[in-house]
Amino acid sequence: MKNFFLLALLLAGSLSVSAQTKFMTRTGTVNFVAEGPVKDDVKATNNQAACVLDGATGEVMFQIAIKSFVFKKALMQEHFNENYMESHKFPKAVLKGKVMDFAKIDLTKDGKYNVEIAGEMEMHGVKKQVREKGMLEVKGGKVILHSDFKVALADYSIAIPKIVEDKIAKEADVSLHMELAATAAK
Amino acid sequence: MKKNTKILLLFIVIGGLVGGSIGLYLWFKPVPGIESLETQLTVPANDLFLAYEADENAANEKYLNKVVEVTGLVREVKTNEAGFPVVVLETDDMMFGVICEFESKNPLPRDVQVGALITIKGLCNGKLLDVVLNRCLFIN
Repeated sequence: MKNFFLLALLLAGSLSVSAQTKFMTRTGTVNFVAEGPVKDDVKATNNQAACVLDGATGEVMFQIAIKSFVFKKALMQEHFNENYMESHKFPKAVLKGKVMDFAKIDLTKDGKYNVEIAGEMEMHGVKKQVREKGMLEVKGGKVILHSDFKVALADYSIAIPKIVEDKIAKEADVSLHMELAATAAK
Repeated sequence: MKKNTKILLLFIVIGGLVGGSIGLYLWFKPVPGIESLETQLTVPANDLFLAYEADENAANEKYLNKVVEVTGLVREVKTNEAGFPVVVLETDDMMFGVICEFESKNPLPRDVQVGALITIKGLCNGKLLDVVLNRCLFIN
């Protein structure tokens, strides 16, 4: 029994140490533009992305609700959800990975770093290894992650019908912006 | 030209105009405001969260893409990076709850304060860390 308490105490202790080093947001921004040769405002914004960064290991996770993407045109939003992303079947996109060379980053003082995030992205039911460049900024105790990258729709089995082929780009330009605050997350 | 042909042509032209206008109207129609959408489900914030914790797929079947009215205590009020008000409603979970992004950038009514019991209408987009609602409207 004594040992059990000791173990519990140790566990609680180690948890609280790592707990202090998590950074999190639930209001991250994701924009994308997938404009084809014929311009038609194929773009949307999502202000509800979640992101958790483990300040000890550099492990990072992004979660995005597909239905949180807001378009200007109702019909476009409907097609995006129903035909392309099938968000009723695949309601979220998840990226789980690691900030490479994380040991070089000092989270205790302000600074900017070019980083690479490598990991697995799951979207539209397809899992794919990804490696994207981005910027990590430490500013006033916050960690700001920013990345612009391209997503080839075909990589995630997102089929664009012939009739709208010249309106939708084969690669979407995605822009992520996460302002992560230190938290006592689990 | 025969009279019949003329009438036929006229019908085709009118039909084309009407069809075209409907097409254009549909194409350019903006995303409708939440106030114009009928509430489909009413649920306490904690029950909504628990439903997702218990079985995410089943909860999605029931709530995903539905207009829901959620009632709960306000845990947190903030403005997101894009300038929209955001409210997190309490659940039994220590960390996570029901997060609601408002449709309009207008300031929230004064009643929306930490600890207040409020009802919010919005679209349920599933669960990330929290259950996520967007395009929300303050009901009372």
